[in-house]
Amino acid sequence: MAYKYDQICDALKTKIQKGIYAADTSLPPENTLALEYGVSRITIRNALAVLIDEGYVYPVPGKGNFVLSPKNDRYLFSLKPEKILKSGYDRVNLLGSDIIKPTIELVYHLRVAPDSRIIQINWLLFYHDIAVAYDIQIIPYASGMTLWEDDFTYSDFSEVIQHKNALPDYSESVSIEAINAPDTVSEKLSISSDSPVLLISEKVMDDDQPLGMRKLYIRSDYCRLTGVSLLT
Amino acid sequence: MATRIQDIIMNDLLEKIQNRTLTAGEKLPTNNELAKIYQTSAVTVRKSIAALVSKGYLESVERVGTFVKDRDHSSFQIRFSPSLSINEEITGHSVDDVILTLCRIKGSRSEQKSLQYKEILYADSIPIGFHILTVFINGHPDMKTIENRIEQQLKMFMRIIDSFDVKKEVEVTMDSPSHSIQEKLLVDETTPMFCFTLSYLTKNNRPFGKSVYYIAGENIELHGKSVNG
Repeated sequence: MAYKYDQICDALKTKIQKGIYAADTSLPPENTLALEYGVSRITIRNALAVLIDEGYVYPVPGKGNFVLSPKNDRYLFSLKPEKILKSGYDRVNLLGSDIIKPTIELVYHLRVAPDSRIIQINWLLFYHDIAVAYDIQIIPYASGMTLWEDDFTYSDFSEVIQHKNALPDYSESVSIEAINAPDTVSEKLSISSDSPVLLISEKVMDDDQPLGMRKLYIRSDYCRLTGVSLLT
Repeated sequence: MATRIQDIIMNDLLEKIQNRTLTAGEKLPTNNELAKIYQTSAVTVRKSIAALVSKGYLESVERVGTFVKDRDHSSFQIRFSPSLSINEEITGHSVDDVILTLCRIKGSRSEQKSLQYKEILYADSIPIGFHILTVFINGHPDMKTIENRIEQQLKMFMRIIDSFDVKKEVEVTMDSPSHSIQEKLLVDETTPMFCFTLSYLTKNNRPFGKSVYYIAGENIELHGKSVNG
């Protein structure tokens, strides 16, 4: 559904990109914008929140919202496992699923109680019998959930979440890092301890509520992500 | 303020895609047919389609039609630029070299005459990245003049590259840089390194240059979010 603030946001973005609002100058005050677009100040504020979040505008307390000169730095990536492995993969092993206590990191990211339980599902992806990627999927456990291991198929992580929640409307945030592999990971990938690996961390959210997390570790010699610049 | 017809069309198509009235892989009616349905011109329809293509919901296949893109929930919008994504502020750079060379354009067998600039990026006095900028050229450049004007040229290229008239394709790998680059960055083969290869194209998909960045994993992290469906 198209919200009013979305349309205003797009209109302001276009003006910023075309330089109609010059970089490092302040946008007109909220009242003025509200009048100009015929909406309430709250709608304007919602639009501004998106602009701030997406890096078009930065707020200066007491002074207003200032335009950042927009950079062409947004890219569209597909993070499907077959697309981010140089070779693709020809086999997936389900290593197992466990119901465990969350670590401190997971308590923070998933916003669960330290004494709650989470489900962890581990997959190992192979290409020509070489373990190229290790995928850890984590979902908070709610009583009554059954672990149907026989039904598990390796699919998009968000599909796994959907099985549990049947939600059409969720968002995912992702971060991509190059790190030294933790021991649990280097063992599974049969690489030497501390070898460099790519780590893709995904978090699925329903509005503000985390639904699940995923950590995908890929051998550094097998990873390749491709993206195209988004020109809106 | 009146809502533009092209926005109405765009939002209507978007809603149909999101509630699966239009399914993944389905071919949309032609622009002329859509123009009749929405009682507007084909030009307006084309603008709405273009907006949805750039947002990743539709894809146009030349001479065939426009299709609803597969909502696989694996599409992410990720931001990358050295100044933004590197977690230290880039305080300076030193140009390592500028040479005239032959470079292979991605996806083609031919080699193109190019100017290649190599620079080291610093945060305070610590090297945090290595950048090789290749610009395809014609004719015979005067290397003396070029060597005298490196700073201005680099600044100009970097500004062009950031503008919205340039299409960029990025490839992210963990390929190791050469030994000489490793030495300049004070890293070795055990250091997790990112290699970003950016191909620069005009809006008409003509390649005009590329950049390769080597940045240590501890200095950079990419963030993004799903393209909403």
